[in-house]
Amino acid sequence: MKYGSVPALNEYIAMKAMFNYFGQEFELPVPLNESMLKFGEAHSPEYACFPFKLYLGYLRQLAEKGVTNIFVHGLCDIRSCRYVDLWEGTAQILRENGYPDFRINYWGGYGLDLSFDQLKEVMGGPSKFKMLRGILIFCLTLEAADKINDLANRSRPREKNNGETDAWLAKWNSELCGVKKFWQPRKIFRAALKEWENIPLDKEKKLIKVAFVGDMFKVHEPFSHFDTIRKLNRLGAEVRQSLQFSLIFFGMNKVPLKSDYQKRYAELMVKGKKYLQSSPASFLDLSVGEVLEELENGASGIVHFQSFGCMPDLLLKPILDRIAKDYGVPIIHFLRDTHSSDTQYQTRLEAFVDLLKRKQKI
Amino acid sequence: MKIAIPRAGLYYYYHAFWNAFFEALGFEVVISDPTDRRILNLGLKHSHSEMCLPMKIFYGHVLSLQGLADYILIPQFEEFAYSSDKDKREYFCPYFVAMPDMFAAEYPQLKILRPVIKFLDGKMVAEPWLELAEQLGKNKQQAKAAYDAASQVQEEAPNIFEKFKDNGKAVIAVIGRPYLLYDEQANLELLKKIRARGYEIKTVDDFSDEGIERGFGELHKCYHYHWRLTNREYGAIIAASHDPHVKGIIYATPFNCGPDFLMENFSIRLARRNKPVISISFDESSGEAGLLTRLDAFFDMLK
Ligand code: SF4
Repeated sequence: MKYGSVPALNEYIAMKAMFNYFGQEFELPVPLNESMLKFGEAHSPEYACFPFKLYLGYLRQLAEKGVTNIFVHGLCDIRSCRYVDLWEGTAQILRENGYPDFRINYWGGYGLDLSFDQLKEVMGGPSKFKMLRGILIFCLTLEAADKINDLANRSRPREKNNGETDAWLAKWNSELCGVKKFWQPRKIFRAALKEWENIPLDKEKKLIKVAFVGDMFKVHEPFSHFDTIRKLNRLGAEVRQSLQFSLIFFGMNKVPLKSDYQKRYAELMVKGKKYLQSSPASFLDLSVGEVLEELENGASGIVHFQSFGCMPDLLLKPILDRIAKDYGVPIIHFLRDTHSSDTQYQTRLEAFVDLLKRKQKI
Repeated sequence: MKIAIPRAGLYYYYHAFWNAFFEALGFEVVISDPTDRRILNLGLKHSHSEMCLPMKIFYGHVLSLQGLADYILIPQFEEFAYSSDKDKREYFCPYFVAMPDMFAAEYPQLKILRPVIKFLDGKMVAEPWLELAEQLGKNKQQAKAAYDAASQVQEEAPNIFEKFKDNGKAVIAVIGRPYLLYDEQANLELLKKIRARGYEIKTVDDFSDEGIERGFGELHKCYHYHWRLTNREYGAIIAASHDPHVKGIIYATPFNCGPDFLMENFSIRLARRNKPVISISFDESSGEAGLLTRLDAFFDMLK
């Protein structure tokens, strides 16, 4: 039986490592592309949001590669929007369109005991000890992948040789996909860090900082957000990855020995409460906390990337407008639908960064 | 002191509690008028174009109350939990969760009361209401007495809508959100139009919780879905499809309703094996003529 997972959040890297450890087959994500959107658009219900359409097309391409089962974290609380609906809906449509065995398997979301049962079922009945090791590998790989991504976001806008950071990122992500033993992720991270320190950087380069925000899946998928982070990096702006999955996973699930993540998660939530006392879907409270932190750390503008049909994105709009007003920073909202134009977005982004640079006299 | 309550959103289910609670605390309650063209236009002008019709209407009601009271009630809806099953929780649409934050961001001058509304086994959890009463200057005893009185009224209150009475007429099940089914401006008097054709109506609220749960069970989902009201609709559509009195089912939906987007795929298709079902969506541009044509076609099919 072949498994696959989400193409985002670095979750697939951690999943791959865990599947390696259990000796189970796992297909890495197919890069997101236009043909997925076309399929999704043609087969989705009328009011489906952009991410639903994209995921439907993505899952179909995985199914074409022989994947029959998806294994994905089961976030089922007030912050998870149409989460289960999205998975169950896409799976049902695929079953009706030539992939009759397609199934979704959730991991976690309904208590620890169930998480073990779910893992046991998928991994062919390992012992509890082995499962604990598998979970440890998942956690350590996820942490390493997110840290590597953070480093990439720091060096990319400053790199002297175009593309060097991304080549470095791809190399070490691929190393992490080969993890099988629990000591490997940290070792790989140390080696990656050493190599990263040798990437030639223009340390004098004057950069602006921008807060980039949107719903949880989209902000992690360059295809979904028209590669905003790289676009901004090329325009001379530094951007941090919001909604890191390690922060959410360790913070929410109270993973032992990760108290630093839990502390940060709690602090950001408290920070976000200033503008968002409720906890709506897609971790908007965390997003708002992160935006505020970015602004306190010198970000001079906010880019809000919205998906068509996404309720959390729409909720976020007035909140961000208020924050932008209170902090006196410019903001752009870009709404992406299946027919939106990348070129138009690039033009708007350029004008926006120009404005920020003029304001900062850069 | 005056407290304003918008006649919109989940007012249609919980108005009795809200009204009784504030009155028991000795406050005057001001309720916005039933939705009319003026309120709708106000909402259309100030809400966001991508929103569903009920949210646009909600904006209209809130803004129509500006200046008429000291505070305005915009609750923060959260979850519906069951003590018997720790893992079974249902949630409200994200708009209902974050509405007070949105209004606070857009209209900082509004003085909003925003109790967190949670349910445990169908009963509204007391703490947020007790805190709210204290925030309004009442003591613990007064707060508790008001909560108890309001809970009692909510339990006994006649519904805002007519309950189904079996008078021998053929029955049409009309399934949808309360703020669409019971707001005549929003649904273009859908219920009246059905009754005028000689049918009696069973709405989603005329199906018992057990019937809805049984209907939901037929969908064979591995997880209970996320949305409280959507789950009820899923179940009620299936329950209606087995109800021997029901001749046909109308699913009325706000155009672009996020939580309901899989209704056709999950529930309606299954129900159609037993009964004729049509979906009618409503937005601000829906017109009388279009609705009548859809209804004519549906009722012709039933003959
Ligand atoms: S449940 Fe649907 S109709 Fe109701 S507020 Fe949410 S999106 Fe609008």
